[in-house]
Amino acid sequence: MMLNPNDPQQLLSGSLDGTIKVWKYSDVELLKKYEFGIPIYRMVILASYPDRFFVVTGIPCKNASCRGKQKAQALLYFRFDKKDQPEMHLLCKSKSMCTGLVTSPDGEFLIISFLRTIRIIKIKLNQQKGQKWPKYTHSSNISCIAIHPSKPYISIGDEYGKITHMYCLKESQIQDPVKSSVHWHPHKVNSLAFTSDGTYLLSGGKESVLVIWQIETGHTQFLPRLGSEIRSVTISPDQTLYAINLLDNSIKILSAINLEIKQAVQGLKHAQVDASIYPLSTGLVIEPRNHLVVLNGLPGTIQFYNPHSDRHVMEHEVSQRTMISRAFEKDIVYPNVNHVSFSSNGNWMATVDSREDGETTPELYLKFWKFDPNSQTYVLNARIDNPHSKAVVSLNFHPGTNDTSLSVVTTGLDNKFKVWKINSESHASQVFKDSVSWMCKFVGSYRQYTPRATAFSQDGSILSVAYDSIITLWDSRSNVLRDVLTLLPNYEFIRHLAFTNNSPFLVVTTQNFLYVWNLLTCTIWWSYRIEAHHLAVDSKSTRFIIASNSEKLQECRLFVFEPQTAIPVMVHTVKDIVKAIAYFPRKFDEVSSPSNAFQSYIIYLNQNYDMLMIGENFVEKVH
Amino acid sequence: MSSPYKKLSIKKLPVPTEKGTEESRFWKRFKSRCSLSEIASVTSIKFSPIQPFDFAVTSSTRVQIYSTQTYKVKKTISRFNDIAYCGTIRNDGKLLVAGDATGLIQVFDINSRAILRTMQGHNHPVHITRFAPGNTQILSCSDDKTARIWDVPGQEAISIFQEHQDYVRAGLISNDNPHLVLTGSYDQSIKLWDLRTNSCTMSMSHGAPVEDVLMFPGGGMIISAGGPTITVWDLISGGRVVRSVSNHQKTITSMCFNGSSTRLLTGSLDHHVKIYDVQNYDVVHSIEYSSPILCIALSPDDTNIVAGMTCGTISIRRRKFVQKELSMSHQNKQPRVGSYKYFTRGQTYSGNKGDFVVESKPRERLALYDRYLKKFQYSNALDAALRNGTQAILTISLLQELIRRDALRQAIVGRDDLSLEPLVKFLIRWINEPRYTSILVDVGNVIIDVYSSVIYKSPLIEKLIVNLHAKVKTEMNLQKEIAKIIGSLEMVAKGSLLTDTTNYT
Repeated sequence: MMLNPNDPQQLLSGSLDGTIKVWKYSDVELLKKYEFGIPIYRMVILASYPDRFFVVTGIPCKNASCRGKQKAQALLYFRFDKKDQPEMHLLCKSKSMCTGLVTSPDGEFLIISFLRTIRIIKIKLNQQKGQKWPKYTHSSNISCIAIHPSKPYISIGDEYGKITHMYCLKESQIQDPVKSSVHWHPHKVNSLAFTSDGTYLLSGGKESVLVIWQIETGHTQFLPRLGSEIRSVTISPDQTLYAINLLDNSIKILSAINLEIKQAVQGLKHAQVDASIYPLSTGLVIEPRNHLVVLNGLPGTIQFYNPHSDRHVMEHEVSQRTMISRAFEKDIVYPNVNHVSFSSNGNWMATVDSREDGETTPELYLKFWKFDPNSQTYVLNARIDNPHSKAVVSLNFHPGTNDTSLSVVTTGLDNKFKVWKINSESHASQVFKDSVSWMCKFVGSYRQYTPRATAFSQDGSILSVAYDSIITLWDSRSNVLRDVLTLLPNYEFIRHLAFTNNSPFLVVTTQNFLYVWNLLTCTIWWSYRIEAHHLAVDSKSTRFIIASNSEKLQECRLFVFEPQTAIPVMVHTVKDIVKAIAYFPRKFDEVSSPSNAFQSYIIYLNQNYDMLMIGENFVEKVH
Repeated sequence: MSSPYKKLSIKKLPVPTEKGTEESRFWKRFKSRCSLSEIASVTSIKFSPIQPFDFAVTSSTRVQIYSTQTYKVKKTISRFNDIAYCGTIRNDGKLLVAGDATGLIQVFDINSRAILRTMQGHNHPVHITRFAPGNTQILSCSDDKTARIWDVPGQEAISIFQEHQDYVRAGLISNDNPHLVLTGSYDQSIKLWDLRTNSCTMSMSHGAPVEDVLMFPGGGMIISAGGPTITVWDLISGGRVVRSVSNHQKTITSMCFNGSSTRLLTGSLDHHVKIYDVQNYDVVHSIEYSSPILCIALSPDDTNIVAGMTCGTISIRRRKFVQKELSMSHQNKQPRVGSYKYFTRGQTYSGNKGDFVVESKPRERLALYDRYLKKFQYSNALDAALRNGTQAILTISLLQELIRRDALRQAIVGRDDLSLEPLVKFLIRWINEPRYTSILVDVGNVIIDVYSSVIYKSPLIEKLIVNLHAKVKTEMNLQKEIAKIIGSLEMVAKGSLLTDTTNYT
C-alpha cells in the first residue's frame, strides 16, 4: 500500500507488519521508518501535515465474543513529534472491513467508507473533541469511493455496479444530502477516479471494461476487452495518461487522447487465478528454443516467461475464449490447459486442455502446434477431440527424433496410453502441397491398471509408463513390452517418474519413498524415505532434485542427488512451499565459464506463485 | 486499443482417413459429367493433342469426333466398309487415320471428312494406326501378324515387320526417336524395331497376350499390358523387367499417361480404372464403371477422363477446377472492353516485384451471428446460425460457444413454437451424427428442461419432439446391436488367439 506525499521524490509504504517506511525511489534508499505495532491496511497523509498519518488498522481482538471472523477496523490518527514518538487518536471504528479512504484535494475532508457506512471527517474540526461527524449508510455494500476535485460531492461504487453521487460536503447539505446515481456496470465497481479538472469519471470493474463518464452530460465511452478484471484506475496529474491495474498481474498505461495502450507491464499471470479451479497443472516446462519457462497463464492460456530478464515474453491462447463476465451468480467455467510438452528442437508443441462444468459434456482436446518462424508464434496444426475417454494424465514428446518422425505419448485415466505419430505426405507433383497430420498409431494398456506417469529415456529408446505401483518399460520403436519393474516393499502409488540424464538410472517417487532403479540390472539401486512432492532432472548433468514441502514449518527442503549414491550432494532449505520446480539452463555466455558448481539454475514457484531462481550461493527472486 | 472482438471459431473436424490423401481427393474431383452411348462397343478413344482437345471415338463402322466443351458430336466419319479401328488424330489436329476390319487404312481430312489417302496391303483387320512424329509416316498393326510403316504421300509401305507369330494388337512409334517402333502381339512378345536397319532389335516376353504398350517420354522405359498385369521394362539396360504389378481381376485392355507422365491409368474388363503413381506403381486411386472397359483416355490438360465400354457407353468424367487454378487460368485472359470485368480488372493487381506495397486494412466484416454475439444477444445469434443454408458445423460451433459462455439456456428460453422449430429440427437432423452427439444431447436436455411443461400446447413442437424421441430410440437400438456384434467378434478373435497359443505350447 503506497502513497505519494507532497515531496515528489519520496514514497511511503505501509505494511501489515505495522511499519510505515519512507523511501527515496530515485536511488532506492530507505529514509525513515515509523513503528506502529499494529497492522496497517490503508493510510493517507495530507500535504499540509507531513508527519501526521491517518491509518486504518485492524484492532487486535481481545474480546472473546468476537471470534476474529469479522475483523474490526478502526481509523486512527497518528502524529509523530520530533522524537518519533507516536501520539494516537482514535477517530472512528467499525466492525466491518474498511473499503475506502480518501481525502479531498483541498485537504479539508477525510472520508472513510466501511461495508455500508460512510463517515466524513472534517480535518479542521478534529482537534475539538466531541464533534458530531455526519454518518451515512448506503443501501448496498460499498466497494470504492472517490471525491470530486472541485464540487462538493463524493461518488460511491457498490457491489451491484451502481455509482452514486452524494452531495454531502456542504454545510447546508450535511443532514439531508442529495443523491443521484448512474448504473452501467453489471458487477462490482472496483475502482473510481476523477480527472483533476472534474469533467470525467473513470470506473472499472469485473467486466474488464473501462468506462469513462462525462459527468455533465452523462455521456459514456467504453474501452472493452481489456483482458482481465480491473482492480484499480489512476490518472496522471496532467490528465494525459490513465493507468489501470488488472487482475492478471499487469498494469496498462493508456493515452487519454485516443485510449490506445501505450505501455503494458506484465507479471506472471497465474498468480491471481483461483488455484482450486485452475491448478498449475503444467508445472514449469522449459521451452527448448529460447529456454523460456512455460506455465499456465489465465485459464485457457499458457505464458512464456524469461527468468533471466524477468520478462513476460508471450502469452499463447490454447483454447480461444472470449472474456465475458458472468450473466448469473455462477462463475463461467473456462477451459484449463492441463499439459504442455515440446519437441526436442522446439518446432512442435503439444497441449492438452479440458473444460468440465459438471453439467454439459466435458470437452477434452489434444492439440498440436507448429512453430511459425515468421510470426514467432505457434500455429495450430491438429486438434484431436477426446484423445482419451477420461482425463489425460501425462503428455510426453519422444526425444531424439527429427521433425519427420515425431511421436507423442499420452496416458489417460481410461487406463490406456496412446502413441501419436506425425504423418507427413510429400508429393512430387506441383499440384499438391505438403501436408502434415497426426495420427494415433498405438494404444497400449497393462492389466487395466491406471497409469500415473510416463517418461522417455534420454535417447528415446525406452518408454516407461508407471501404473499404480508398477513400472513398465516399452521399446518405443516397436511398442513391445520389455520389462516390468515392481515396487515390492509397499504398494504406494507412483507420483513421479524420470530417467536421469547420461546414466542408466530411473528415479521414482511415491508418497513416502524415493527409489532409484538401475536399468542395467533392473534392480533398486538405492532408496530413501522421503516425502517427495516434486522431482526435476537436470538436462545438462546427471543430477536430479527432490523438493519436500513441510506444511507445518512452512518451508521446503531441496535435495540434490547424484543417481549413483544415496548421499545428497546438497541440501537446501527455503522458507516457501514449493509448487513446481525445474532445472533451468544457463545463458550461453555463462556456460563457457569453467568450473560451475551447478550446471543449471534451479527455479521454483512458491505458494504465492512467485518465481524464484537458485544459483550458486544466492536465491534470486525473479518475480 | 483493447484487444479486438474475437470471431466465433468454427470447428474443423478431422477428415476421416477413408477419405484419403490429397492424391485421391484430386482424382475424386473428376465427377461423372455425362455418358454418351454408341451403337456398338467402343474400341478406341483418342484425344487430339491440340486445344481444345477434342476426342475421336471409334465404334462400329464410324469414327466420331466429340467436343470436350459441350460433349456433342462435332464430326462423324462413316466412310468405312467394315468395323473401323483406332481413329487417331494427327499432331496438328487436321488429319485423322483409321484402320478397318478389311485391312484398309484411310486418312481423312477432319474438316471436310474427305478421304485423302487409302493404303492397302494388310489382308486382315488393322487394329492399330498411328502417325509418326514427323507426320509423313503411319504405323499400322494388323491381325495378319505384321506391322507396317507407310509413307503418306506415296501411299506405300516402307517397312514391313513380320516376326510376330500372332495378331499384333499394340504398337507405337517413339516420340523422341522416330526410328524406333514398338509393337506388342498376342504371341505374348513385345518387339522393338529399328527403321534404320528394318529389323527387330529387342524382343521381350510379357507372359500373356499384349493388349497395349506405352513408352515413357525419353524412350528409356516402356510399359506393357497383357492379361491382368502391367510390366515395366527398362530398354536401356537391355529389356530388364523393372516392375510387374497385377491389380486388376481381368485383362487390362487400355493404358494412358496423364499430361506430365507421372501417373498411369489402366482400364480393364473388370469394370475398373486404376491410377498408379509411376514412381512406385502403387495404386493411388481407382474408379469403378458400370461395364467392362475397352479403352481409356485422359485429356492432355488432365481435365477429362473418357472411358469406352463394351456396351457402347462412353463415360466422361470432368474434373472440377480448384479455385486457384481457375483464377490462374483467368489471369491470362484480357477482359472485353466495356464489360464489368474490364472495369474491375485492377482489383487483384498485387504490384510489381520491387514495389513497396502500402497495406490497406479493410474493416473486418462480422457475420450476422458474430454481430449478435458481440452484443450478447444470444437468442438472436442462435437464430442467425440456424437459418436455412448454414452449415451444420457452424451451428455446432455456435452452440459450443454458448455452452462455454454459460448462455445456452439464455439463448433457448422464451421462444414460441415457430422460433423453436428450427432448433428442434436441427436436433432431429443431426443428433445421431457421432461427432455432434455430445453437444446436441446437452442442447436437447436444456430444451426439455425449459419447455417440458408446455410442449403439449403446440401440436407442431409436440410432433417434432415425438420424432426426436423416435430417432434417439432407433439410434440406441442400433448402438446395442453394434455392441453385440463387437462382443461376438471379440469372442471369436480371443478364441482364435487361444487356439493359437495352445498349438504353440
